[in-house]
Amino acid sequence: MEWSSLPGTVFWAMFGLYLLGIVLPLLVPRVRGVIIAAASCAALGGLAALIAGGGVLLGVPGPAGAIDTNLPFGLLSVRLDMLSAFFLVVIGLVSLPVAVYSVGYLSRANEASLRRQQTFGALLNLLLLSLVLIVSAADAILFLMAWEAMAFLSYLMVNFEDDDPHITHSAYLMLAISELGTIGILLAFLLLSQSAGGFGYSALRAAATTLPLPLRSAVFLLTLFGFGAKAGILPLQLWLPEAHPAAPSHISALLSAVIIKLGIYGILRFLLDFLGGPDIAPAWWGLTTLSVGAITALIGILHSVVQHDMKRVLAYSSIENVGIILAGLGTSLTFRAYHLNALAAIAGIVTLYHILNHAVYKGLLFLGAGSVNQATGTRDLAKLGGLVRLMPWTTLFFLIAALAIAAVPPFNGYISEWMLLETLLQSFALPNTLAKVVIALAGALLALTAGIAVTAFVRLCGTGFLALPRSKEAAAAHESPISMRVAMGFLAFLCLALGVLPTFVIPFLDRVTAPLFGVSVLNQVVPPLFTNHPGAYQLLDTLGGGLFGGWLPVNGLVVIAAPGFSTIDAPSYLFLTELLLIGLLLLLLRAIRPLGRRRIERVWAGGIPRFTAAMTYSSLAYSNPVRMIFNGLFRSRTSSRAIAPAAQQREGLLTYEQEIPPPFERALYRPVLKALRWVTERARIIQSGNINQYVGYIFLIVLIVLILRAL
Amino acid sequence: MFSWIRKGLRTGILTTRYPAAHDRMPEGFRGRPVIDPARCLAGQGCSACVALCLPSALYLTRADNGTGEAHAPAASLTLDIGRCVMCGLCIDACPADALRMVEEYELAVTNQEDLRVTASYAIGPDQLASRKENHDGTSA
Amino acid sequence: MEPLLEERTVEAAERLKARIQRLFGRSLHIRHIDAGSCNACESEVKLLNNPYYDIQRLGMFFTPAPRHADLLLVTGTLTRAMEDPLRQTYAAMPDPRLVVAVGACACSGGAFGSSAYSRGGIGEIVPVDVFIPGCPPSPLTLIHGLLLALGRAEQRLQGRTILVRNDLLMPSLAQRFGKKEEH
Repeated sequence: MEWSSLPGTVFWAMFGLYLLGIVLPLLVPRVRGVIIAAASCAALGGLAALIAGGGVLLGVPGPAGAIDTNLPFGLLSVRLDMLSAFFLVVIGLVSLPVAVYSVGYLSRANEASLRRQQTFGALLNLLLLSLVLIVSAADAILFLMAWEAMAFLSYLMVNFEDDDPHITHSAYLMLAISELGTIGILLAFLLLSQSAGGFGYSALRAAATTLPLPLRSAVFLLTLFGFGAKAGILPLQLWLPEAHPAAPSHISALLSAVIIKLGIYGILRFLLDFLGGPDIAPAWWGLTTLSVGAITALIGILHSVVQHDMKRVLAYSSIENVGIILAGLGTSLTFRAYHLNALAAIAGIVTLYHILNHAVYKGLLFLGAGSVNQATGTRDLAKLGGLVRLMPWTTLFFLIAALAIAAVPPFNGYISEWMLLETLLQSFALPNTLAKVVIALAGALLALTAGIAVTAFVRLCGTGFLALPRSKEAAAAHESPISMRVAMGFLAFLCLALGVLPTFVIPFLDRVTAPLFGVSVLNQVVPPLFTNHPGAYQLLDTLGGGLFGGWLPVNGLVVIAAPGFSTIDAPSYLFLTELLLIGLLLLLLRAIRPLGRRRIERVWAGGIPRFTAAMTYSSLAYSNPVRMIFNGLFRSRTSSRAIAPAAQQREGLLTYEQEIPPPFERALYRPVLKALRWVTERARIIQSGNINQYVGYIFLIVLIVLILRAL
Repeated sequence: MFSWIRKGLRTGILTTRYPAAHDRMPEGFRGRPVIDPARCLAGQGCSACVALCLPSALYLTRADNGTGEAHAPAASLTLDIGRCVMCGLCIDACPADALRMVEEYELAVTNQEDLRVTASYAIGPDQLASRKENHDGTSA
Repeated sequence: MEPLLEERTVEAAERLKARIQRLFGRSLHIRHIDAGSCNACESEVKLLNNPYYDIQRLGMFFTPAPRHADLLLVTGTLTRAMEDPLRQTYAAMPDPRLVVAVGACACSGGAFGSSAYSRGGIGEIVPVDVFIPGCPPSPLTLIHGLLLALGRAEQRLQGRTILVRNDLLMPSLAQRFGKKEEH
């Protein structure tokens, strides 16, 4: 069998699988069958995406195809280049466990009607189809069509429980801001295609060099605005904390892990591919992106710490990670503007690694939150707790994801955040002082963000899962069904694997960045110690340092974050050393145990008669220091009222409320909405209801068009 | 700060040197009562101290095991320092001057038996033999 | 008269001393618990930290957490309400641990004795290593007791039963001969 044609075949088969997944659920008559049918097609499609994308990254030439639709836009073409293949892998990696998870999750969902499950199953596959079309599109029209489909479909999917007005409101908000972003994307494409003569990507790429700088900068800003609305950067993030929690959990996972990344994909496609030629992008693009990213990250994580809804914590954390990704991209653009292409490529690798990592651990976090929500019926941290004994597997997987997102070795978050900070430190190579200052400040903000991220996730795991259950719903929790556990376990395993074996991942990322930056930095980031210095590292070699050197493009197990810098890291060895030390410690304890007696007693709590959940640390208390220190950034509104019955002035109710509004709500959204309302109220004059007036309008417009035609 | 140092130097060392050297107790300090069994009249039926002792630090065991006679001769009188509150009433009440307060302050013990001093009254040699059972864990 | 209980006392003291001195050396952390006391003993215990008595020069420190404590200093006759907290406090102390009963109440119930509300001493709930009598014991007595617990001081009191031969000695005769035996 010809292995090199496998990815191509699988790629086309993937479309077939998704189409099957759209049709099949509508035919199956039973609820459980519908769920399994939809999930199987989605899972197989995800697997196919993984194989297709992975194959292209391994070196197989990417499949390509085009359809002539006789529309005036030209061909609708599909092509998997390296960047598309990478994102296809991300989609596959996340949609596979999401599909498996949905079997158990939907089986126990409250909405059990056949109609709804059929629609939902079909829509899931349709959504996944639109996602793969977005990343594999090779012309602007197909891209935009798939983009709009994705926006609308995700709106429909968020609306699963549409009898709850809060959910419908959140979904509509998401759609509204997404459409706003689409306007930006549309304008960006239009500006590029003005001088392109076509809508294909290669035409757009060629056209970018001919655009004057002001137009190019306009495209840059429109890209950032348009795709940023989908990605969730400040100040367009208002919909994200509302929509992600409102959706059913596997859709939340898909939204946060994949669909946000498609916003990033758009930005990457524009800034690194279309506008990626030499001397096209000035340095201020990179610095702007970096600043926006850093501020988004900080504000995002600050708001994450103070939420009491589990999924809102995760949603704001997604905003934070999008900020980190943008910061990596901004660094890359800045380096490239100063012709430091190697450093730019390394920053690009960091950005891509973080995209991959975030997809994996954020997907797992949302799936875990979904398990908890389903088992206890609540997402409120003030009501959860004590789940570590009742739901041990969910707790374990959630903890792994939390450690990963808090950048704790040996998990994957550590690799990408460490490399990002190291790359930021390389800014001393830049000639411009302003750029160095901006990068330094951004680095400081990102370091602060990383610290607060640890706080946020310690709070989430600690108050959500440990100690005692704070409500009877939490006390009645049970472990999730096997399909949900398998899905979460797969992602948890990935978190560990991507963290322990980064040198297996970096070669693939290098293949993505090499065509974009024109230089392969693999040998600088993962130096081939063994081939360069044969016989010099005997001990490491016998310890497995040269593992897989033959048939995978792996250089060795050591990572250097940037060339010419003196810090290196060997995460694989670190992991093994950790295991060894823990093992030794356990052996030692076992050996000396006979010498010491052991008594197991109650937790010391001051000698009180009973230890209740009300005595444990609450999530509100844990977030208090952050809330107090950053109060200026939160702009919280505090109100306290005392309600005393008139008769007895001593008894009464004292309420204390502190509300933290979402970022930019008062500064940006309210004024904009007010202005919009003012304009539309004035414009209502046109709507008179008088049909004669409307006919008069039509006549006027036809007249104007005729006059313009004549000119 | 310097005035604080000067004041400290002028005041000198106030700390007691106990346990390196014994400390003097103030006038009238009540350490513990001691009993002189040779003077005590409990064997003759006196129970003046026992009647007054609030925590029952002084208690008798009777020879006849409770026929109810108020002034029957006692088999033994025990002074339990572990219960004593050092009120001193027993010392004033004793008609035979058998109790007095000493200024001892090193009173700690490792087991409670060491806090009890029992004066055991033998009435006659023949009754001494039968009294042996009334004693608690002691041997003649 | 022969002291009769000396042997047993000395044995117990030697054992305690050997065990404790080896483990605690020159640093002892004390956790105090009030098991229903009138606070006279607390007033005396509190004086141990003042510049005159200063137990810190002897290497002894008070600690609020039983987890960090080597010695549990108990005052008060054990009220019913404090039984369980005392048990929990004792259980929360890691081995090796000592218990010292301070005051007549902790030793044997003191002025309150044994009733529906008070157990009459802590000996039934926790194993006591050193008893410090007094009501309240002065700080020097407390220091002696703590040092005794560490094996750094000697026990002075001796329990004994003295046989008095009344048929041989009449009180008037005893007075006449001036025989004064003090024990």
